[in-house]
Amino acid sequence: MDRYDPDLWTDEFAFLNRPGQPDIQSDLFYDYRTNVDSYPEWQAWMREKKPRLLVIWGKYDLSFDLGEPERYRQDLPNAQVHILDAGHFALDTAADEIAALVRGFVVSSRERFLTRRTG
Amino acid sequence: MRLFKLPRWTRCLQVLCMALVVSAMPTSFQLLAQAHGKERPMKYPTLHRTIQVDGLSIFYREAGPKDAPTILLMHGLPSSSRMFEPLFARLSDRYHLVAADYPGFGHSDWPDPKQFAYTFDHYADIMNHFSEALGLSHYTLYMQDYGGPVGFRMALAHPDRVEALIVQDAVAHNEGLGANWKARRAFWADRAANESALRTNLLSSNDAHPSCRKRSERGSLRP
Repeated sequence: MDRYDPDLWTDEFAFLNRPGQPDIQSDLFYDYRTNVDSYPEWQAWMREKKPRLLVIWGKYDLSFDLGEPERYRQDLPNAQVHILDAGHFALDTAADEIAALVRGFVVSSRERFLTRRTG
Repeated sequence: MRLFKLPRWTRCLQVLCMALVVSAMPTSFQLLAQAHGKERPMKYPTLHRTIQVDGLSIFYREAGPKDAPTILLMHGLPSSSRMFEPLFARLSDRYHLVAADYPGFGHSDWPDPKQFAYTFDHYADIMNHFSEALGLSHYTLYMQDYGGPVGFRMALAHPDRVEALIVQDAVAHNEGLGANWKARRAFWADRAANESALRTNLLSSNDAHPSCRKRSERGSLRP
């Protein structure tokens, strides 16, 4: 509990209640339905282009279904999937772990080339 | 032999020099310790900037060497580029990190919804133009929450720019939206009838969606 900075939620609550925000967020959330319509297109793109993928997920994320991180492997079997002891806003409490995962994953194309050459 | 016997004043000078060297050593070690210890300043501090994109002022954070691999970070609701500050602090030594606030978020412009279309298509266009304005031709996309729909659209529009994807708590499959999305799907099906309920659900501190207070009690931490 003490790893979580309470200013993070009070600031964000203040933001959402500033004048103009409810109208903006309502419009944007209404448009969220177009994301659902687009999911098959994104999945097809992943299967075709085969990008390298790292999935990081907070196991206490209440927004989404916990089967979702593994579901990316249906599109990209080689995806790296990590479930962390964190919530939807995993960076708030698990920044060290996430930074380490990113460091291990994001390498320059030159490094990837050299790794492939040396096997 | 007499030839090698130095005069007394020379020996005194030698002792004095040694004393000076020895007395300076703690300061040297201290500086060395500072260079390798906690007082070392950040080599690449986060820069806080704005840039004009499509007639809007877009605020963004940037850190790290520009010739390092670029990570373009897309934030979610109800946050801003600020959510990535912990990664900027930890990764700016080796990576070029860039994170912008979408219109209507953080310190970017908040245009009137009557004049500006708040859609994910529009966000992706603006973020593509933003990355072009910064000269970003290749990047790893880090996508959290709303950053998923923005980022995937960007990737589909410019696949050649995408070196890799990082998905953090963002959905790309219908099954990813669980039972708690039933009320939101109702809003999508009939906006007028469900607008009021949606606003309460999305914007209140007492909602089931892990924004604001609820997330600090359940969503971010061990229950």
